[in-house]
Amino acid sequence: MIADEVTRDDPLAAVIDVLQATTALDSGFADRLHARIGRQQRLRHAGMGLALCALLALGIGMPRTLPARSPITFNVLGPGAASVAVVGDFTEWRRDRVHLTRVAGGSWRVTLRLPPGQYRFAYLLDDHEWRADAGASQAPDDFGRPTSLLTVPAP
Amino acid sequence: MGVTPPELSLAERISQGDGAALGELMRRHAPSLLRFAGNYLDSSADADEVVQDTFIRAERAMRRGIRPGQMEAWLYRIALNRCRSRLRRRWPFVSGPKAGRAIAMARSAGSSDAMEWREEIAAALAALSPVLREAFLLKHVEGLDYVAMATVTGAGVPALKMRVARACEELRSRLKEVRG
Repeated sequence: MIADEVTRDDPLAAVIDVLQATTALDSGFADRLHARIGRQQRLRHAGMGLALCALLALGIGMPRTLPARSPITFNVLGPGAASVAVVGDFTEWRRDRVHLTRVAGGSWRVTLRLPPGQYRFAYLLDDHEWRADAGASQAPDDFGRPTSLLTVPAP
Repeated sequence: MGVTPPELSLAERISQGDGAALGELMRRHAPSLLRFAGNYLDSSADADEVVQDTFIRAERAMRRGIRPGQMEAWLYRIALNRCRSRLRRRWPFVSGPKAGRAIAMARSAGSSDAMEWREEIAAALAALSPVLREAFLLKHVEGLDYVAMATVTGAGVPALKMRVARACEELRSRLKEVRG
C-alpha cells in the first residue's frame, strides 16, 4: 500500500511549498487578464458593429462601408528557429493563427491585409521566445513581454 | 469546495455582461488557475493563454445560461481540458529549453541554487505522466478534495487516490536521485 498523503517531514512537503509559491510571482495577474479580455471583447464588439453596418448598407443598396485593407509584411530574422508566428491584436493574441514562412537569409515573412488602425504585436519564435519587431516602435505589454506598435494608415 | 451564494450571484451578473463581476471572479480564481496551469505545462506563456481561454469560455458558458454547481471545480475542469489539449498539440514538437518557465524562475529565484532546485522540481514534475501530474497538483498544490477532483478530472475517487500515491512515489524517487 502506498500513501497519497504528504506530511510535513516528508521531503515532498518542500516541493509542494515551492510549487505553491509560484502564485506569489504574479499577484496582479487577475487584474491584467481582466483588462486584456475586456480589450478583446471591445474589439470583437467593434467588429460585430462593423459587420452590422455593412449588412445594413447592403440591405438598403448603399455602397459598402467596410474600410479597405492594406498589405502589411511582417519580417523577422530567426535563422535558428523551427517555427515563427506573429501574434497581436489582429490575432486576438492567439499564437496559432498566423505563421510566417522561412525565406532566404534566415528570415521569416508573412503578409497580412489589415484594416486601418493601431495594433500591438510581437513575434513568437519556437513557441516560447517573444520578440519585438526591430523596425517598429516598441513597448512591453502588460506581462513585460517585448511587443511592437503598428499603425496602419487609411489607404 | 462548492458554490457559495456570492458566486451564484456573480454567475448571474456575469451572464448579464457585468464586467466588474467577471473581474471579481478572476481575482478569486485566476492566481490559482495560473499556478496550476504553469506547473502542469511547465510554461508560463502557455499557462497565461490557458487561463485566458478558461475565463473566456466560462463567461460564454454563463451567458448561455450555464450555472456551475461548483464554481472552483468547474473552472479547474475547463483549465485542465485546455491544458490537456495544449499538451496533445505540443508533445510532438517539444524541443530545446523550456524558456518561459526558466525566465519566470530567473526573475523569482534568489540564488542560482534556488533556481537549480526549482528546475529539478519542474523536470521531475514534467517526467510524470499527465494523469499523475494533474492528480498530484490538484490534490497537494491546489488543495482540492477527492470529490472535487473527480468533478474536475472525470476519474473516480479510488483511481485518483492511486494516481496521487503513485505520483508522490515517483516524485520522491526522482528527487532523491538528483538530491541524494
